[in-house]
Formats: sequence, structure tokens, C-alpha cells
Amino acid sequence: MPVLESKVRSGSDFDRNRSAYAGLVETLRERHRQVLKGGGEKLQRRHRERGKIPVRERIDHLIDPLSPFLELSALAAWDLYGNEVPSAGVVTGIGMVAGVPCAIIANDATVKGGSFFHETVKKHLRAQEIAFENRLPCVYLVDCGGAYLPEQDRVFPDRDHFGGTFYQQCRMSAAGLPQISAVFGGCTAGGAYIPALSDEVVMVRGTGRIHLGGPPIVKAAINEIVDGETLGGAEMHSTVSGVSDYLAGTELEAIGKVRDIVAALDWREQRRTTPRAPRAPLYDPKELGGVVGTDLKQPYDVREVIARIVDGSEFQEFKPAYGSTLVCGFAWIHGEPVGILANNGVLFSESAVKGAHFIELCDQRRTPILFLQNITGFMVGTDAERGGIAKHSAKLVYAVSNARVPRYTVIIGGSYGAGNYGMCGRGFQPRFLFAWPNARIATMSADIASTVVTDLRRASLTREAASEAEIARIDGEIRAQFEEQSTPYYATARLWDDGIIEPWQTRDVMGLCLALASREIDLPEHRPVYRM
Amino acid sequence: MIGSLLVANRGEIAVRIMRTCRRLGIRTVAVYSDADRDALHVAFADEAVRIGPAPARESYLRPDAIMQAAARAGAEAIHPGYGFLSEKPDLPRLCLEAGRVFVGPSAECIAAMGPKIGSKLIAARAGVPSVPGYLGDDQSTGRLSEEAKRIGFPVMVKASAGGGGRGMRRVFAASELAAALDLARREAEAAFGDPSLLIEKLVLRPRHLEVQVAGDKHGDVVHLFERDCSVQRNNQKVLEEAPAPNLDRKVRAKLHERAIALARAIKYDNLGTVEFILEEGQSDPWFLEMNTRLQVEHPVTEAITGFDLVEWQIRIASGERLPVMQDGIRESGHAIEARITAERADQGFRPDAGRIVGYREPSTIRVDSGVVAGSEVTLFYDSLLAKAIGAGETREIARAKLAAGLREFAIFGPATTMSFLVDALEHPIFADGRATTRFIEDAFPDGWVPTRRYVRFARAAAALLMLADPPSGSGADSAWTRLSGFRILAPAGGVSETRLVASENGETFRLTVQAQADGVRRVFDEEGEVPIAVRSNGQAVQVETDGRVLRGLFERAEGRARLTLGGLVYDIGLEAEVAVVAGANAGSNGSGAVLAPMPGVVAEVKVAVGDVVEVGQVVVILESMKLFTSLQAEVAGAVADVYCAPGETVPAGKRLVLIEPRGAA
Repeated sequence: MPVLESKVRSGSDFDRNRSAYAGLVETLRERHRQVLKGGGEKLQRRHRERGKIPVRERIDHLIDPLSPFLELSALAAWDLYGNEVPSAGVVTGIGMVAGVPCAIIANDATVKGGSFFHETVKKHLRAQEIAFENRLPCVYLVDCGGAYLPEQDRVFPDRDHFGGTFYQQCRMSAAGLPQISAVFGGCTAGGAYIPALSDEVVMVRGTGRIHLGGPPIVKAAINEIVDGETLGGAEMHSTVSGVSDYLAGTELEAIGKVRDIVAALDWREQRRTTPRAPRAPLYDPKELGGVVGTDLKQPYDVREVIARIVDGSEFQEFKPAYGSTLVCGFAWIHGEPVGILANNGVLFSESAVKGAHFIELCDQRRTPILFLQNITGFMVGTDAERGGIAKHSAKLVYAVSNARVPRYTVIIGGSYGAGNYGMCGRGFQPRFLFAWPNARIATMSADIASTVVTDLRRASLTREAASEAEIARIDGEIRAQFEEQSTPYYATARLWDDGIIEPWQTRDVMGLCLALASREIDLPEHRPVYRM
Repeated sequence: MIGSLLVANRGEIAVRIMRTCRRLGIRTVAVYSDADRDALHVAFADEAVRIGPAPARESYLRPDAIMQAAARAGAEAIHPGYGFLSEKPDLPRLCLEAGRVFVGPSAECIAAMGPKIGSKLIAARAGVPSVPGYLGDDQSTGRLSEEAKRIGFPVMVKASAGGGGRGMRRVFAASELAAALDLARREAEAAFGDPSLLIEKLVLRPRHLEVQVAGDKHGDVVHLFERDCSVQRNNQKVLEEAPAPNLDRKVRAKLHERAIALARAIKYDNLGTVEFILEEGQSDPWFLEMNTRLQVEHPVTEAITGFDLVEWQIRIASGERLPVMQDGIRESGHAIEARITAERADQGFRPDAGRIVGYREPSTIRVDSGVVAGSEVTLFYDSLLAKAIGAGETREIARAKLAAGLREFAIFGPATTMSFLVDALEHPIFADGRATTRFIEDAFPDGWVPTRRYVRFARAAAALLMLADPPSGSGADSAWTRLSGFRILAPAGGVSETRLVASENGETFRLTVQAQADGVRRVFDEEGEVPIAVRSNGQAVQVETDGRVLRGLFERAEGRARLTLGGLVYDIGLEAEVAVVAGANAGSNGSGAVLAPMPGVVAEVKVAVGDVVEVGQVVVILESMKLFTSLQAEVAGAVADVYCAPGETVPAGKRLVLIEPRGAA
């Protein structure tokens, strides 16, 4: 296969880019460090004193020794609620349990008692969606206090709110995906259904509780005075009610039991090996910061990025001399085949139809697709419109939407406007979507937004002519809004992606994602490839 | 010369003999007992014949079975090796009858040197003195005193019928003799029913020296210099070397002369060894016995003379003349052999058994081995696994090469004497060439104990090495098994941590392994971080700590890591903490509550609060429907509460007893 040759390994631009990028990465790490503390030192200590294990340590115990854990949306709810709900109070991700990749959903009881906020539910649902799509058994490490009542209107009633999580559990179980719960703490009201709707349940003696109504509600409703342990303790549920299937003396024992349960699943779907021996790229992925820099307006050749992600820097480029602003080609990542579409400038009609053609190829060949987004949008202007950019870009969007192979997106730069659609943005439901710390996600950049809005104001017929001061104020407001809302942190806090990753982690993250899916690419029929 | 040879032996010597046969183009036939069906010597031979069940008495010690095997395989010749039938006249006789060649001396030579007293008489006639002594019939105290004076003090008084140390007395001066004789007589009478005594010169610091001799059927006899085999334990040689260190030139010449004289006297016609004892610092070596066979330690002689002694044996047995005469035999350099046995050197050399799960020889020294990875070491036979031979221009070089080679030698499975051998080689007494047969008690007065210098590093390295490979048993090879320890949050400190429980030498301890974002693994034990870095290449590992690099070998087997470091084998069990906890409670549902399974009357409560109960212990007997049901504890622990009393009627599901599980947080 052809090998990409890098041209930008050193030089002053490269060095400047690299040090600027290091600043972005340091911010990301600082924020990750912050959320790793969970509910803070004091609450962590109290948690431990009660014989309870911190949430990420529970996961370390649960998964196979030193195996990978693909944590999702660690910065969910970042900067929301006074930044007091780190990781939205729930750790989700994919980890190997007894050799089986499982979706793991684990409440952090040190964060607001593990209560469900809007983002908690969204993150919970997203992990379930990933499990469903990738056919992964689900393990719930439950330690939660139900809905956060002050936010109940954003948690409880809607389609994608709390009820949706139970709906997903039921549907996944019916689809043959095991649902396993270990109950470490309280599961009250709605929370009770996470274990109750699981296929198998383990409860920890002394701390695990399941009740539809806790002691205060019982007292209020039927005037019965009862303690929590009698009402819904692990021992009662394991020996009397049968709500729980296994009683564990300690948290560690409960985690061991979950491992035993997964080991006994006889889960056959994971038994596959990568199609090819993986090889490191020829160029160090650590150089990616120096390649892309922090200024989205500064162009670079996206092949420099591909060369630092794919096996052996090998890239079989499709239609290299046509529609050159969209680079398409076949490659391997950690031994998994993948088709890559990567922006190399604004999308023209040629680039759009080339992309559509390439997606058809991937679909026909059962090759998963990776979108590397760095896009300001489709070309505008008379020439473009006369050339039919609307219908040609629509072809790309159509192909993206209907590809049957797994699709993955990494936002490596700008993700603006219709470009976001054509390059498989969140709305097009890629299997996973990650962003780099330099990413920007919005309908348009702050510059253009300001121009558009101030021009609209100037042209307004219903209002009197705008003063320069008013235009300046509008310009400032719009810029501030777009700048704030287009940061990757604003996006990841709201679960518009599955997490922010350091650029050099892209190869490993994609290797893990592709390995989950490629076993099930077994499409019933082939489709024709329409030359466009 | 012969065209085929049956080796009536097993282990390293069988393999070693067959190696020479292979080089000489001789077809080899092995024999095996049921215990040795898969042994190395069987696999090594061109052909193998079963000779009986595992016990040696029913297989390797049966001359008839050996002869039948030779007939079945059509072997022209039989080599007895050492031990087993090698020093009995049966095989040479039977060979003569059956028209086969016996690779060893004539039956007459063997018979002559067999009896202890008879061989000494023959030696005396040949002018070769034995340890001075008196074994006459006159048991009067006067005569015995006279003889003792003649022999010269110190002397040893022994029961004639004796053995096992009873009736033995060391006497250092004439004044002590009468009392000693009296005591010894009484002990001898009590122990053996015979009060007669013998007197022998007491050798206080004996050196064990021996001379390799060779004779042919044409009357020629030569020697191939001597060996010093003073390092022994329980009369078994441990380290052997050639030539003997610190030996006066005249004494040396005397040794060789005496050996030749004895061999000539009996017309010795193959390879043999004449053993002598020499009081350290004295000049008169006394004849002990002659071994009419190939010795275990023959390789050191081969190393300094350059000859293949098995080849000599075969050629002589085939009727050829000695390959060289005395003036053609030269020595050069020095060689030391160490016997590696499956024994616990720290427990009085108690034999150990088991399967060899890992085996790697050093490439720098000669190794004669009877085992490979997968060999089963049983208690049916001698515990010798292999011999390692270091040779060089000087004794220092030979010793250093051997010690270094032993450090590189890895045998995983049953305990071996490897690290003891290294310590013995490096002990100043041996290093100075001053070892006597009292070496082990002199060098290790409180018994030898392994120096577990690197135990902390070994444990930490074992944890890293066990986690270095993809989790076994998953069967799948993908990014999920390869990208071990991957975490998106790792650069921010959200690193992968695995908590392990390790067990070694009956101790358990905790280890935590952390995978840093840059791929570096860190290990923590109860003392804190263990400062090591481990690199491995196949079985070979390098453990770097504090600027030092230790080399070792590693092997994993069924949840255990076996690692050699500093010449010592560390055998460490490693399991995830979570698996240990789960395993400890396997089979129970983990509940400490004993509930009434049906309505009934409590007939008996067998525990009280505070009692310690084990899993399965009956705690309450319930009478229900005219049946008595024993209710058992499902967890081990202490009784925290009893909720019922005898005679009480209880509903189904009532909690009767609560047990606080042991080890619960």
C-alpha cells in the first residue's frame, strides 16, 4: 500500500504550533484532573470510611487486570451547576470483563449522592445506546439517589429522560444483551428499576438498598415506620423478596460476583481477532499538535494527520486528483480496516460527490468509516450554486445517513454548518464521536455570525437605523455567544460528543472502537456503487 | 567396534552415553520403567524397551529384564552407567553367556573390588595402604590398647557389627581409651548383640581424592589424574574438581602410583576410579575403595584431558588397546562440576518432586542433563537432574564460569540445589581450595539458608511480567488485549490500576500495578513504590533497580510466576484481589444469616454470640413436619446474634442466627 510521506516534522511553524497546542492539552488535563476528584477529598474519604470503594477504582477491580477502559464523556456537565457535578455524577465507558467488552455505567455517590441530573440521564442513555449499537453486555454499578428533585422537569418526563433508560434496559435484554447490576448503595423509586430490570443482580450487605419508596415516603404514604435495611436491605432482597440474586459481604465480593456472572455468559460475540497485525505509524502521533496548531484559519494538509493515525502510515487514497478538498482513502488502524474521509479545505461539489462515492465503496466492502472533521462548510457563491452545490452536498449527506457500516467521527478542527452534517456530525448518529481540544462546533464561526447578525440589524426595515454603538454592542454579544458556545467544553458538557481526547490518543481510541464493531459487520446484501 | 548399545540406566548418564554413541555411529537402545515412559533418555535413544514398573527393584535393578531387553532390541553391547547394576558382576557374566559386550570391567574385577574388607586386603598386597586399623579377634582391652597406640591417636572405636553411628567413639588420647572401649562395648552389645570392636585411625579433616584409571584387555593401565570430591553432604558428592587444589606434588605422585598399582594388581580392564582419603595437610593418602565403573564426575577429567571417557570405555570393551599410553596423557587447565539435584538444600537436602515446567540451560558451560521442560521428577530414583561443568585455564576461571553459569540456569518446578551450589562455590573455604568433607558444616554451621536478597524486586517484577502479556484465555487478539492500561484520562492521572494478591513461601501480600500514560508501569507494595524497571525478551528478563541490572529468567504457569534472580528461584502466585475475594467465598451465597427454611420449632441452638463458626457447621436444629433439619453456617465467621431459643415456634424465612463473615469490612 502507498505510504504517506510527512513534510512538516520540524520548523518554526511546527514548533510554535506544538507549544501552543500543549497549552490546550494542559487545559484539558487540568479539567480531567478536576473531575477525577469526584465529589472532592472529604466526601471521598467518608465514602472509603464506610467500606465503599471510589467509582473508578470499582471499575479497575471490575475489568480485567490492566486492560483498557474507554471512558466516555468524562467532562459531562462541565461548568454547569456551578461545576459541582463532575462527570455528571456517573462514569461510563467500555471495559473488558472476563474477556468480554462490556458497557459499564457506574454512579459516583460522592457527587450529589449519585443523583440524576439532566446530563446524568443523557450520559446514561448514551452509554446504553453505544452498548445497543455495538452489542455489548451492560454492567451497572449502582449507587444513586434517584432524580435530582430541583431539576426533575429536565430529568423525569421527556422521551430521552429517566424513563428512557429503563426502556433501553428492557429492549436490550430482549435483544439478547445481558443487563447485570451490582447494587452498592441506595436505589430508590426510579433507581430501583435499574436492578429490578436487570437480568441478574448482586447486592452488597449493609449498604445496598432497593425500595420503590424509602422510609420517609412509606411514612408519608401509609404511616408505617420502618428502617431502610428492613425495608429494602440486601439480605431481605436476596433471601426473602428475590429482587436480588446474590448477596455479597463486601463491595469487592460483589464486583467479583459480577465478573463471575459475565464469565459464565459464554459470550461468543467477542471471539474474533484483528484482521491484520497492527503496526505503529511511521510518524509519532505526538507530533499532531505541531501539525494542526491552534489556529483554525491556518491551513495544513490533513494527510499529515492521517499519517500519524493509521498503521504504517499507509493510505490507499481514492480519487487523489479530484475534489481534493476532501481526502478519501483506505487504511488500517490497530489492524482494523477503515475508510477515512478527511477535510482538506472547504467542500466543493466535486468533493461532495467524491465523498458520496467513497462512502458507497465502504458500504459495499463492509469497511467502517472514519470522518475526520475540520470543515467551515460547503462552498457558497454563484458558481457554486449554479454548479448545483445544494444537490451535490445533499448526495454526501444522503450517503452518510444511509451507510450501513459503522461510522465514527473525530472533530479535529472546525465543525461548522452543513459541513457538520456532510461529515457525520452528532445528528447523523455515528457510533462514537470524539473531539480534539482545538475543536469548534457551531452553525458558523463567531466572525461570520457577527457579520450576519449585524448586517441583518442594519438591513432591518421594522426598526430604525442602528447606531454604530448598537452595532458594536450586537457584534460583541454575538461574538461572545458564539465563542463560548462553540468550544469543545461547551459541547462535551452537553453530551454533543463522547468526550474530548488528546490528538495522539485518536489512534488508540479508534482502534478500540473499531475492534468493537468490526465483528458484526455482516450485512445481508450488497448495494450498487453509483458513480457520481 | 560394536554397532549397537543398550544403556541400562536412565537420567543424565544415559543421555550422556548415548551422545557419544551418536557421535561414533552406534545405534542406541534405552530401557525404561513405567515412570520414565516420557523421560528424556527414552526420547533421545534410537529405540527404547520397557523393563518393568516404576520401582527400581522391579526394573533398572533386574539383570534378567536388561538382558531380555538387549535380546529384543538386538543390542550388541550393554553399558551399565553408574549406580543400579553397574557394580554387580551379574551383567558382565550374563553378557558373556549371551555373547554380548559388557562396556565395563570384567566380572572378576568387579567382584574383587566389591567387598570392603577384601578389597583392602588386595590393596595391601599391592602395597597400597588403607586407613590404618585393627580388626582382629583378640578383643582384650590390653590388645586393643596396644593396637590403638600402634595406629596412633586420634582413633575411632567402632562396633564390628555396627553401623549407623551406634557404638562409635572418638578417642583422642590413650588416657581416654579404657573408658571409651567400655562404653562402646556396652553400646555394641545392646545394639547388635555383639560387643566386638574394631579400631581405625580417626581422620579429622578428610579430603576425598580419587584417581581416574583405565586399563585394557591387553594388560596396559594408565591414570588420567585425580579429582577432589571433598564437598559432600550425607556422603553424596556435591562439587567435584580436577585437578585437586593445593595438593603437594609428591602426594599427588603418590596418589597416582598407588592407583596404578592397585589397578595392575587386579588386571583392571576398563575405566575405574580409585578413591582415597587424605588428612588435610598430611602426605599419606589411604585407599578407601575402588569404583569399577564410570563416575558421575567423569566430565571434569574429560575437561582437563580432552578425552571422551565413554568412547574409551566402548573401545576398550570392544577389545581395542588404550587410545593413548601414559606419556600421551596431558592435563590442561582446571574443571569443576556441580551436581544439580531436586532437593531442598535449606531443609537437610530433602528430595523434592514434581513436573519441570520451565527449563533453560546456560550456553556458556557444559551441562549433562537428564531432564527437559515437561519432565516429571519422581521420588523413585536418584534426585540428580543435571551436572554443570565449568572449565578454564585456571581454577579461578573455572569456578567463576560455573557460578555464572548456574545463575543463568533456570529449572522451574521442583526445588533444586542451584542457589546452594552458587553459595558453596563462592564460599571462601571452597574458593581457597581448602574444602574437606566437613565443608558444609564449616561453611554453613547453622545450615544453609537461601539469601533472599532480591525478594522484594522479584515479587514486583513477577507482577509486572504477569501483566505484561495480554490476559490469557481470552483467545482474542485485538486492540482490547493489546492496549493494556489505556485510559483517556491517564495523562491527567486517571491511570489504570490493578490490585493483586501475591503469595510466596506461605506469605501473602498486596501489590498494585499502575500503567502510566507513557506506557511505564509502576509497582507498589506495602512499603511504597518498588523502584524497578523490567524488560523481557522471551524467557530472559532484566530487572533494573537503583542503577543495577539483574538478569533472570521468567516463566508463567497456571497463575504462578516463576522467576530466577540472583541464582534463586522465586515461585510466586499472583491473582487479582477481586478474584481472591470471590474465590474465598465460592460456593456460598455470602449470607451470614441463617434463616428458617420452613415453619417449625427450634429444637436446638448450637451456638452462642461470639462463637467462631466454619462453613458447614451446624448452628440450629429445626423440627418441622416431624423431621429434624440441621441448619448450617454458609460463611465462616463469628456469631453476631442469635434470634431464637429452643422450643420457639418460628415462621418460614425468620432469621435465626447472624454470622459476621470473617474478613468483612
